[in-house]
Amino acid sequence: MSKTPSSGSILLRRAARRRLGLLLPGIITMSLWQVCEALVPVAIGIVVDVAIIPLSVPALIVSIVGIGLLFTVLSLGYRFGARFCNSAREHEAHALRVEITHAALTSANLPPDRASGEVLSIASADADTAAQSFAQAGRGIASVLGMITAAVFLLIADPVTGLVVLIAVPIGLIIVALPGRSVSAKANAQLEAVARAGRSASDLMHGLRVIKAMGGEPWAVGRYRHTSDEAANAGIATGERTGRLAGLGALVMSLVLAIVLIVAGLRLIDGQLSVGALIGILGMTAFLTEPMRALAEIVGLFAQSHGAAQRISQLLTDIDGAGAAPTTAPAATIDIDDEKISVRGWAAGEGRTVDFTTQFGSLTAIVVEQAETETALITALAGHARSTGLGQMLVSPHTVDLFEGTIRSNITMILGAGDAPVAPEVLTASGVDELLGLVDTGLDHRIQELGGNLSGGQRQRVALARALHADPQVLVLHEPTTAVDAVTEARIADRVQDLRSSRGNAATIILTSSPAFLAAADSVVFVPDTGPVLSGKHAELLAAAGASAEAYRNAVTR
Amino acid sequence: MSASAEQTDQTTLSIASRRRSFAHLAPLLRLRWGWLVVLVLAGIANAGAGLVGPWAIGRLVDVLPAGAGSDVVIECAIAVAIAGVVMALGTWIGAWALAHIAMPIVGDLRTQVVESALSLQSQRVESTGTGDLVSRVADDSRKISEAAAQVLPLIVESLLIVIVSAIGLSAIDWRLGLVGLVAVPMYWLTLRWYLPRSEPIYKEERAAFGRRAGRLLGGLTGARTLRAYRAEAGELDRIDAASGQARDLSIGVFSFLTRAFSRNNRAEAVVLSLLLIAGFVLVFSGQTTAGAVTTAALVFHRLFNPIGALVGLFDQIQSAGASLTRMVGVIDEASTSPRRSGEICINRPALMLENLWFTYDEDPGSSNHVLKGVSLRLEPGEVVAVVGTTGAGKSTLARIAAGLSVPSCGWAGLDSGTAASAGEVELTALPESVLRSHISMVAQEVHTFNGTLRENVALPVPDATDEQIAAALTKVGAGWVGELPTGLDTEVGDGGIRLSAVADQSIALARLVLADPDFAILDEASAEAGSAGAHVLEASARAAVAGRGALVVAHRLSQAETADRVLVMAHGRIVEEGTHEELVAAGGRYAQLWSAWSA
Repeated sequence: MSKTPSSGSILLRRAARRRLGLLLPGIITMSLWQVCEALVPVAIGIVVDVAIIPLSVPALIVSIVGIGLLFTVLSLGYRFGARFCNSAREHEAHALRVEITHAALTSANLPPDRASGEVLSIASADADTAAQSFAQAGRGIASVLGMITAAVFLLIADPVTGLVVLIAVPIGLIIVALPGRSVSAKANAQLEAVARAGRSASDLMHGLRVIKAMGGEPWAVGRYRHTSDEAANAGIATGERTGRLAGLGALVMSLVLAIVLIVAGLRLIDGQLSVGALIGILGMTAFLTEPMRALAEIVGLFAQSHGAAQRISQLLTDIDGAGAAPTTAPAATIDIDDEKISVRGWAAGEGRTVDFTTQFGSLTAIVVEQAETETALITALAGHARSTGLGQMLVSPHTVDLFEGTIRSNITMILGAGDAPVAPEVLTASGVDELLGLVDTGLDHRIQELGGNLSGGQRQRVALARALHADPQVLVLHEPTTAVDAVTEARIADRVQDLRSSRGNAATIILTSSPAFLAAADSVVFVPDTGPVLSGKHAELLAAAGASAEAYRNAVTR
Repeated sequence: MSASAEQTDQTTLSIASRRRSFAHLAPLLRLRWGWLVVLVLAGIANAGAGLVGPWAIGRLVDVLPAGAGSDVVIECAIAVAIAGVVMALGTWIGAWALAHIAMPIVGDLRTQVVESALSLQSQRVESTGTGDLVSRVADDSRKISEAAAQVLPLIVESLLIVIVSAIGLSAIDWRLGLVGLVAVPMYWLTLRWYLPRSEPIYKEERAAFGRRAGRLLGGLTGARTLRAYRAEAGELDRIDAASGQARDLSIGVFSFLTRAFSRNNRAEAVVLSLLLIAGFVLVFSGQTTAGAVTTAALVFHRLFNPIGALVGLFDQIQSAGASLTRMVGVIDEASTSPRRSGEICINRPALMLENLWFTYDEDPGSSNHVLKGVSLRLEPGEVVAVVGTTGAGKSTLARIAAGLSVPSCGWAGLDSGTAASAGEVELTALPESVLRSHISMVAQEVHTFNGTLRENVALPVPDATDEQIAAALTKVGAGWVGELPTGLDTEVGDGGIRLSAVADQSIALARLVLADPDFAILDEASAEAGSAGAHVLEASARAAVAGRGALVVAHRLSQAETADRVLVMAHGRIVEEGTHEELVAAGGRYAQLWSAWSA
């Protein structure tokens, strides 16, 4: 676990190494099963030969006992072999999932081009597909052993016929396998078309309210019908191709059987072959196609597993790299001492830098016109916060993420069990008290996955309560109340200011353009697109003269 | 809004019975009866030809030791080769016919479900939540589609092989056929043992998968917050636990499945032994030949794989069946909801809302009303802003005005005001297309669909020209369109480039311009766009509603300032009404809000 696998093959090799304890017994028992399957037609031939044709009762009894034994080994072999391989697969898939999520959540930073949706798909689907290789390894190796058993039997039973079978069957399979690639490409295209239709349906349903509010039903049905028809047409084409390939397979194997039938029949007439061997050889010929076909299929599936393993190792390497590589020059230098937090050298575009200080016990509001400048400050603050403890500094993100649990667990961020109390001042300051009035169970009201059962304003209030509850020495908030109505927002702003200043040694920085917070702030820093940076009280800035002050009035007037 | 927090206990959409679901498929199948005949004939030919191989081997077993010549060998070989040709054609044609039956039916079903979901009444969707609908329309139809492509062909082929082989076995010797029948109760017992046990554990496994997916999604999308609060460890523990639980259940499920296969093996061993013993007895009494017994044993051996496939796939058959009942449930529900129809022509109407009461409770006599007697008349071209705190009933009023919700009590409709045309019409009595030509709403949810920008804007008018779309975007001041690499052809939405909140919202406003209704209903349209964005969007919204009547739910008081009339709502009632200046001068609640706002 200590070293990140740098390629898909290395990841798969590591997987095999760490699951060897399950994999090895799995492969051995699976092979036992496959060998027994190969012996069933041989057994039928022997029974007919030694018991039924000579009409020998003792031989019949021995035969039946033999069949019973054969099937017992066969059945147990599959049962435990498949279980071992499956357990290896499940354990590895779980281990990969855990590894991916741990890396994604604890690394310093995800590479920016990795959306959470992609990580999600790698952690769920790709982890499964990569681990699938164990099931394939078990089946594949068992198939090879089954074929070797069959070959040995054939050569012992009759070298001439055996050789014919061993040459004719692979040739037949190659003939069938040649067009197989184009069919599997078609089948993949069809699956992709079905998945597209699914995505389209899901997209339309997520936008259902928008469609209904605008009368977009005919548009939506038209769009979906188009995707669905494409999927149906792809399905028909694939079905026909797959059928043609299967038909070709049936034809080729029948021809092989006919050839072997002639050779074996003639050998029997010559007295070179027993009846039992004839049955065994012909039954085996039909049997041989099974493991061979399985093997061909497994090669294709293994390519998929390898692709998935490749994506996983790529993601892990990316995360590793992002963590190790020194980030580009920080956009601001941040210092916290006993009485203040100071930000120096905040790059505010056009070679301009901004310095500001927030004393403990006071609240600074920052108004920024340019989004990139704002992002630069937040990134710098968040970067600094990570190197401190939660009690010292917290940068609460603007995007509200809620987690399955209760309102309480979302505020305390004790996500498992736990009954930590939440101070009533936090609830009133964040406006969560009003929300609690609407639900029967108060703080223990259930929050669904992603907080789907709360409105935007309610979510923001829970997130604000979370930040206030954490009660860090330095709290940074970013547009905390964009979805809260004006009246409530004004009340929240005043109470947040009261709550934070009641804690004498705490500093609060709020990036916002909301007049409510600006009015409540002890000082305001305004960074316009161009021109000088302003700082002072909200009322002073509103009354000031000059281009920057004009820009400020524009930015904060609602 | 305020009510959404209370609505966690949602009623669900209905599920059709199995019988009803298959009945729904019947007319679709009848349409393709020709293909069905081809499918069955091809399948029988295929399965029948498959019996030739065992028959030929049995014949050789009988005749060769008796001194027959090579001509018999050649004969048998030719028979096998011809059977191969028949099998090839049967397999090919059968698969072709099956695809022609299954794929269009599944396609029709898919489209029907989407169409039905779209025609469900908005209020119904609100009460069930969209989650259930998404899972039925997207997940269930995907499961059905995949089952039709991958599982169905195997099942059809296996079933036909089993049936034809059973007949073939009886044709060789009816007594051997009878012995073969012993297999039926044995496999039946396996299924009887397997099915009732499998359903709950598979269900549990699926639920665990769902929990795992939810946890992964919650953790990964919330990564930024988890990092900020140093709470990664707690959430990772929960993810690990959910994943571990799913893993353990899967291992248990698989181990259960292998026990079912063991039962299959037992049935195989018993029936094969019985066939050989019965064959021995019959050969002993001179009633059949060793060759016939060989054929019978080989025919039965040929059945191992198809029967195993049928048992192994039973779970997938069941789960596809469950998906089908959920899909047909949606289709049925949509077909029973009242349909509005008729041609109504109204010229320059006013929007009338009279004494509206509304409650989210089932019981209309409930005391828990969100609206308590709101009346409002919107003249053509008039812009009215609604102001109030969260929970005052603004959004509900907007939804009723847009015809998306039906008031529990009261009247919402259009009034043409001239005796010559229709006079007064209730919104819910209007066909969807007529209603939307008069009223369109930009709701709180902003959704940009997967597809090109052109497709996204064209939502209300699917056949809009590029000029119309460009004009609509220009009107709402969407300057960012010029910066897109491929203009209107740019892929947006989930799979395309990420647009800013302002851009997403201006697409919604451009749709409104393209829809060109008499009345626009806007609900908190600029809430999430941040400060600078809000100013831009306010200007866009003003341009979009220019020349039409509008009901604007004002989150920002500047939206109220520019309106013709302002309504102040509190606790489901209108408490103040007038122009911005009048209300500020009156010194009431609005004046208080305004002074807080413009401080």
